[in-house]
Parts: sequence; C-alpha cells; structure tokens
Amino acid sequence: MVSAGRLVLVLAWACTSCANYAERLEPAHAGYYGGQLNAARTELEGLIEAADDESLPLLKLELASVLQASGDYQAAANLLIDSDSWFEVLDYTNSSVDDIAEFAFSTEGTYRVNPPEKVMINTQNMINHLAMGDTEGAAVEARRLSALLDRDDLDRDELAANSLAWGLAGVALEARGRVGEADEIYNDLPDGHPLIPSVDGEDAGMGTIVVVCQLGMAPRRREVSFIYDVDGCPNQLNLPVLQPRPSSVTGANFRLDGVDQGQLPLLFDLGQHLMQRYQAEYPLLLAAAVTQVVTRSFVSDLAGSALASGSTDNEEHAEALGNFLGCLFQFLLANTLNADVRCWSLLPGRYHAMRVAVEPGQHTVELVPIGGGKAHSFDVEVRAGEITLVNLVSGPDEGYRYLQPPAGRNVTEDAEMVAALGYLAVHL
Amino acid sequence: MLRFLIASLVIFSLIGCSGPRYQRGGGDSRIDIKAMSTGLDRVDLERALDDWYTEFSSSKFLGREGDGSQTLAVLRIDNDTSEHISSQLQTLISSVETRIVNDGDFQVVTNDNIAKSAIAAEMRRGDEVDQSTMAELGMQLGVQYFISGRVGDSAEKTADARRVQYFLFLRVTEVVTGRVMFQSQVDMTKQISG
Repeated sequence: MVSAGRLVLVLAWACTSCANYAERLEPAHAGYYGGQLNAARTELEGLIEAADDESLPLLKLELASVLQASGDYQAAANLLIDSDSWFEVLDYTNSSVDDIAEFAFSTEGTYRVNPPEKVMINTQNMINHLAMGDTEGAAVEARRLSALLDRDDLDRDELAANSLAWGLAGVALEARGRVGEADEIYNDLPDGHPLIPSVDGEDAGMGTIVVVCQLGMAPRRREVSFIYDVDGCPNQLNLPVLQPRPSSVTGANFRLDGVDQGQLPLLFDLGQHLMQRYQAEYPLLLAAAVTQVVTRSFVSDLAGSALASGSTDNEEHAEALGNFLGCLFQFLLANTLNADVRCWSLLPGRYHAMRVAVEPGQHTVELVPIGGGKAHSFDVEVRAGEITLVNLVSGPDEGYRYLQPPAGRNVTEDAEMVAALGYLAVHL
Repeated sequence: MLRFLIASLVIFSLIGCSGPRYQRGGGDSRIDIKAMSTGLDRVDLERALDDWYTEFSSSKFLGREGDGSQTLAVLRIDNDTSEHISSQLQTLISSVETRIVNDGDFQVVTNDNIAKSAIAAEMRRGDEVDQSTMAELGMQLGVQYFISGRVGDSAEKTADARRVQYFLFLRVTEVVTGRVMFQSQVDMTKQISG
C-alpha cells in the first residue's frame, strides 16, 4: 500500500514541475519589446530547438513576428508558410463544451489557432510578400484567405471585422495584375475604405504606396486560478484568461516627401476584437471547467476513500480523513490540469493603413507614432502601375514591462458561472 | 527482475541512439514516388511535362513549324493557385526548355531575361496589351514564338482530408500577331488525408 504522504508528494511535484507557455516566452518578450530583436530571435530559436511537435508551429509564428520587425521579410514569410498548413482552426464561440474542455485545459495537444489568428497568418504574410515586392507570394496568401471562406473554416463576420485582411487581399491581387479578382474583393469593402484605389487618383502612369503601421500589443492568454465551491469543497479552476496589454501609442502620423498626410486610419483593432471574442467565450470556458471539476471530484472521492481505508481501522476517523484527503486531492489534481495559455503573443494590438497614388520615382515615407515609440523614415522607389508597401512595427520601440497575471477570485456566485451552469443543464 | 532491468536498458539505449533517418532517392525509388504534401513535387512536374509534351509533339503547329529553324522562348508560368509553388514552376520552365532543346524542333532562346521579363510584364496587362510593343520586344529577344502558361487550382477540405486539383495551361503564342498557335491543359490532383 502506497502511503498518503508519498502520494501527496508525488502530486505536489507534478504540480510545480513545468513553466507554462507564457512564462517560457517572457525572455523573448523582454527582448522584443525592449528593442533587442537579436536577443528575442536567439531566445525563440532556442525554444524552437527544444520544442515538441505540438508547440513548434506556434513558436514559428512568434519567430516570424520578430523577423518581420527586423525587416527579414523572406525568412518571416518562409516560417509562416511552413506553419500555416499545420494549424486547424478551433472557434470556442461555436464549439461544444467537450471540445473546449479538450483543448482549453490541455497543454499537451496540438495547438489550434482561433479564427483571428488564422486570418492573421495570411495577413502578416501578405505584408511580408508585398514588403519585399513578391506579388506572386502575396497573391497566393490572398487566395488562401479567400479559400478559408470557401471551405467554411471561417465565417464572413470574421473578415467583416478585419477589413485590413480583406483590403490587403485586394491590394495583393491588384499588385499581381489580377484586377478582376481584386475588384471582387474591393466590392465587398465599404465605400471609402483606405485600401481601395481611388477612381481619379491612380492613372496608368502613377504608382502606389501602401503604408501599414502595426502598433501596440495584442492581449495574451494567462493562467488564472479561480475558486468554485462544490459540496462545501473549494475547487480550483485554472482558466486561460485573456489579459490586455496597455500601450501608450495611440496612432501614427504619416508624412510623404515632407508633406503631412495626416493620421493613418485605424483599419483593425485586433486587441479589442480578441477581447470581445473572449467575452463571448468566457461562459463556455467556465462551463468546460466545471465539467473538469465534476471529473476531479469523482477521482478525489475515490482517492480519499482508498487512502482512508488503508490508513486506519477506526471508521469515524477514516471518514474524516477521507473527506480531508478528498479536498486536498481535489486541489492538487486541479493544479495538474493547467489551462492552455498558448497563443500568438507577439502580434500587435492595432493596424493602421492607407494607400496613396504617387508619381513614379523616389519617395520618402515618414511614420511618427503618437504617444510613444520612435519616428521612422523609409526611402522607397515606386514604379508606374506598381504597388510598394511600407511596413512599420512599433512593438520593439514601445518598451518592455512585465505584467503580473490577473488575480483569481471565487466565481461561485458570478453571473457568468450561473450562465455556465444554465448552459450545462441544457446541453449535458 | 534483473533480466527485466537489463532488457529495459537495452531497449532504451536503442531508442536513444535512433535519430532521424536520412535516405537517398537513387537507392530507393519509392522515396521520390511518395507524396509528402499537397504541393507539386518532382513526380507531378515530370508527369505534367510528359502529358503536355505528348500533345505538343503531335500538334499540327509542331508539324508545320518545328523544322529547327524557328526560334522560341519559354517565358513564364503564372501561379494562380493558393499554394506557394513558384520555385516548382521555375523548374517546370527549365524542363520544358530542356525537352525542346534536346528534340531540336525549335531553337530555344534562354539568355535574355530582361527582354523576357519585359514581355511578361506587357502580357500581364491582359486586355490592354499593346501588340506593337510585343512585336518590338519579340524582335529584340529574337524569337518568333513564346510559350507561357498558368496554373490554377481548386482546393477542398473535409474533416480528415484536403485535396488540391491543379490545372496547368500552357500555350504557344506567335509574337508578331499575338495569335495562339497551340494550347493544352494538364490536370494534376494531390490529396492529404488521415
């Protein structure tokens, strides 16, 4: 018979042995947002070398962000192409509780991207290909985005929310000379969208500059331990919580050849979009967590009884010890069920973009972030009938600050928990 | 117990020694035949080239003009798919050139990439292509005909399989007139499942 003490020690060891994804990435974040891109790259390459197959494609997305910010567009593009085919999409907002429980509380399985991340793979790669003048590669990414809709991997609302992605798809196909395909996409966008060519501004003899500014930091997933009381026993629920990351940069001014063009329009607030999605996911996550608690309660009851019966012959004493050990086990087992906090954490928070028609020749583009960061100047050569993309990622200029994970609390009486239990009552 | 421990050690040491296994295609032809992705590989390109060339060889155009005195250039094959296959298409262009050179039906012009790019850029204008510019560029390049084409695809996916159907169109155009002298289509399908 194994002693209770030994079992508790084994479980306690299992609870404390592994750092989660967010913690393992912290040094890379410190390098990236601290402006030390080479250090961030080295850190991520080290993680990739030691990574299991399940996390490898996601780490490549993170490295692609660092490479793009460094201006190494070809290497970034290769990584995104390599990773893209590995990812399946999982949309918590329309998945079953069982599916959510399988993926949100398992740090072992293959990472599944959410719909916004899937769109951003193709979007970031359109930026990479256009920035290096590879219109064919950009057009392929535009078609991959379109194919997501055709295959029902993505619903139209997601692209309607992300008009940067759809607008860039039009730009990519236009740059490739596929005017018909591009027009189909432009027709889907609202009138006056900053990436649609203006009717009178772009004659055959003119060229085009598309400016993209990636500002701020997207929220990232952190693990937070909530308490939920079941039958007098406090249960610990380790939930993946989306934590916003504040940025002082609120926008960017654009100057062309020394002439002020005004503030770049905001095309996609990725951070806000992810937070809105999380609000919709939260009751389902809670419901999925409760299903884990039920399982754990059952296991801990069995464990408590078994240990108590093996420890003493006194019935009352055995029952009390069994209850105590049951609660203890429940807590320890809860700790072993970590929340999956993997996500593409080096994405920016917001995308600002627009296009301007220019005479062919040399031009100077100046981008000045508002509220922080650094001004950047780009000398570009624009040819007649062609599109040149200028890309600025402000993250490495914004500074690194460690954010503590949000604090946990007792959620037994929360409205979201009541909603979650209501959901389970109907669906289980 | 001791036997069990020794057996375990032997098994673990064997597992520990086994790393990735590298193989050379020449030694085992099955390596080249196996499909590894839904992209185009060497076997796909060889089949596509064989199919296209079989039709080209028996065409009236080749019978009429393929006496070895005419000049021809293989310009480009546009990638209109949702797969990154541009390097494979460059290989296909080289393979088409090699096949035509070796058969001797046409003189193949391969060494003026600037003029070839200029023609390709002009052709990209689609309906707005200026035929007199094309003819001038053809004269500059010293070719009577050029081969160009495009690859399109139709990609579909189910819960456990992804299939990409490729359609390769290759045609021969007379530079001076812009007339299409020969055109044919080759279909290829790749599927990944499980």
